[in-house]
Amino acid sequence: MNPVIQRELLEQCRNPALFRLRLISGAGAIGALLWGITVWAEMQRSGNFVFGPWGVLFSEGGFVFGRVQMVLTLLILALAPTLTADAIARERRESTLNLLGLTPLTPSAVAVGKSAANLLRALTLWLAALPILTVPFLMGGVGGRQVVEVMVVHGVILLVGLAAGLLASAVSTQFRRALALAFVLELALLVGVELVHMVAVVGLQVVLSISVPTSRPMELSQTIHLVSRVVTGEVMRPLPPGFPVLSVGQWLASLGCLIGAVVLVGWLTILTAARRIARLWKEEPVRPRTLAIQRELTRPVLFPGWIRQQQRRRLAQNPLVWIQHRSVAAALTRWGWIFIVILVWMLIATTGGWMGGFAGQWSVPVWMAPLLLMGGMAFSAAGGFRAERENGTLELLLVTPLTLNQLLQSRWSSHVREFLFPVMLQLSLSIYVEGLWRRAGVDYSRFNWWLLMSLLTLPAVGLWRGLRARNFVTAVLSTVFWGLFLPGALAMVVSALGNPDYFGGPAVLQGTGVQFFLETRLDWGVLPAAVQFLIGLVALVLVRRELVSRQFAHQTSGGG
Amino acid sequence: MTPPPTVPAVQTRSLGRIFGSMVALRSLDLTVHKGDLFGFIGSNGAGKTTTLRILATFLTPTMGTAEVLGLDVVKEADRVRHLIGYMPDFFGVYKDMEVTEYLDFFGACYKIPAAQREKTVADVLELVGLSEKKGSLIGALSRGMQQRLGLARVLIHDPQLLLLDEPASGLDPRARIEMMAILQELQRMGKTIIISSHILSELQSLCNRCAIIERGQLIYSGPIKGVKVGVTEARAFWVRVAGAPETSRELLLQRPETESVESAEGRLKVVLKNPDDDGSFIAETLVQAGQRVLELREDELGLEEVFLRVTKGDTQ
Repeated sequence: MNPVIQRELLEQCRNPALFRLRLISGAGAIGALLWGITVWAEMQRSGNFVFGPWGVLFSEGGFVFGRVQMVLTLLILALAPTLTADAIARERRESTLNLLGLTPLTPSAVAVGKSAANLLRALTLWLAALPILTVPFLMGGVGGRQVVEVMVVHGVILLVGLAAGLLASAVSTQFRRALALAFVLELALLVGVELVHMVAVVGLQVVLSISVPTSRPMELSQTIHLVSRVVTGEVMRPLPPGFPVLSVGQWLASLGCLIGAVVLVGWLTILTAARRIARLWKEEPVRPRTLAIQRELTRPVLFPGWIRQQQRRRLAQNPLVWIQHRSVAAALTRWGWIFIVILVWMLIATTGGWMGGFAGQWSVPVWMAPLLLMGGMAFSAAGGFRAERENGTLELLLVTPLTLNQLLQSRWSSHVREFLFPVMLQLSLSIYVEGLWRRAGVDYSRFNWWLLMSLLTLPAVGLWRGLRARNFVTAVLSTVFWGLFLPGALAMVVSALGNPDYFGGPAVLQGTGVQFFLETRLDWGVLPAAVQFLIGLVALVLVRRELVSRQFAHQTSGGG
Repeated sequence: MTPPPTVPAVQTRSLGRIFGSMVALRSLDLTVHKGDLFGFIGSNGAGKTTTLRILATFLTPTMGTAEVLGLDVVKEADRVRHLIGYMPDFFGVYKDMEVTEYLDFFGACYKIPAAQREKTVADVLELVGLSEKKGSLIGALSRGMQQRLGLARVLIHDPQLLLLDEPASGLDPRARIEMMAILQELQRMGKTIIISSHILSELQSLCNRCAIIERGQLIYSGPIKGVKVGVTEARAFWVRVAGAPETSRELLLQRPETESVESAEGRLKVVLKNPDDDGSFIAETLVQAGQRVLELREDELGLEEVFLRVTKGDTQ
């Protein structure tokens, strides 16, 4: 057995994080099941199908199945790169990678070993959630095709996520950077899989002379189309007219090509990671070209004189804002998120015709882009003091004459600035589209409130959790919990208390002013925003207390 | 008329710090005078870093007080921060910054005016020998150069007291020697320096005073020579003469000042009865007897040996 796999499995046995991840996976599936059943029951009761006439085609099990597997897919998308993003980076930080280089192991053996061990780990997480997926299947209305499609998509995303994490881990020594890079690579590799899949399907048609009964043969290979249907929970929705109905043979051939494509892309990625490990073993110095690129990325291109003058002024006013603003990571975050918002809107605009008409198609970016942005904010904020805590500069900053309030205010405002433009872009697009919807009586404005408040409060929550948590993944997850999940859950509970439908009788708050307030002005988008605001204020107080107590310093280095 | 009392650079009284259930520092009374190059010696976990962190205003003491140049490190932390330069036992650098940017940033943190910062940065880089690297990315610097950069950062606001935690750890011999030379130069410039290090042989030649700490308690504080006297059981000299040493051994054993004479590796170790005796009788006796004295030196304990004798090796 590959000793790397053996060591990884041993380490995983002793790592409590794996048990926590399994718990999250199982709990996520159970939560999704309850959510799916609740929404379905609510729709049945009220006769209000969110997705219009398409909803009537959903059977009980089908609707719940769509929701449960959607949550599982999102969990795989988020967790798969997390599993491997520190696999090689940690070995580099702890200087054990070079020790492996002294053994007869080859770089490929190390890369394959890391991948295989983490694939096994990921499968245990998936298996923890699998029993829940069988419940809607037993409820009826879920076809074999849909189940196989979902399984294949889960497998594709899992392999792509693991491969992306491994490659990112070989590039960066810092877990935070590796993880951010892994998510970007995950998207890029999915596009890569799509391209390979398309080539494979077209090739198969030519070689085997398979005639496709459609004027659009490329649709057979639309991995992204299939993935996006799974991600948005719409895997059970019938395809709109014009889409090809595949025979069993064609369908199997297409899925086979997809599996082949992901194996190929995954293998190429592992080979690239192995090449990178080989270079690391040679301990080659940083290439001059890399240094030049780093320099160029931080050098102003337009109006350099004026920008430098502004930077000097900013440095004099508040050095902490200056240092955040000048970093490559900050620039990449700012422009990267603007790009992602545009990408989401463009993708849905060009490929979302199957989503059930105008409102169905355009509702996706209105909720998906804010969720992505909020996840990004949590990720960025949870790492706010993390880098400084890890490289020791936080200790240095705390013994300068800068006050704690200056430190906090500057770091908070830096995070807000990073996401300000992407959020404003999203809000503008969303408000414009909602203006068109309003005529159809559809209201998605709650996401705008939620997004806006997240922009203001998540930095505070993230800074607090980043200082409290021992590792970065815990910091991100607890930021999401405190900053997003808890306000949403609390708001739903309060809404339920004011809604007679949830309890089959008079509402708990029936006849009270609170119920009137809930029914008239506050939907569950504004309410979480209000709870978020309160949690944000408390988080600011707590992060200040953390900095005063210096508890973070004892966690990393202890008293010596 | 009595002269005004000189304010010590550092004074701690019954200083203590507890982390949870662990007592890192217990009742430490320490005085460091202005202009001292003060060695702070102790095993891992003895409490050196905790003491330096308290003096740097990073940690607050659980009990007792600490003053830096007469200012309380808790009540007047803001003023103290302008007076001290703290270098922890790790680099604390932003690797994607250029050397001058890094120093410029910390200069701004210490509120040095922009017009003055450029010259200050150039001066401290000159002092630590990094002028040629001012445009380099920190991540591309060697460990020794990053250590020098750390020292440059400490000096950027011209502090009066430097708190250096293991400044030479991990450096190669040349870089260590150069670092020590810089510290001596800083002492000549009038800075008070407290340096914690495990390389005791270097502290011995560098520092004029030292403190030894074990399990959070002070074992010794005072001049380097004092600690040696305290642990030396008897004064001894090494003698090497031309020809066979046996005659010389017999001559020295006959002197009343001599306790014992041992022969080892062609040399004689002469142990004196009275530690206050200066040992001048050795040369006198041998020369008068026509012996050619090639070497005569006192058997001095190294700081490492002193440290081993005064500490028990306990850690916490």
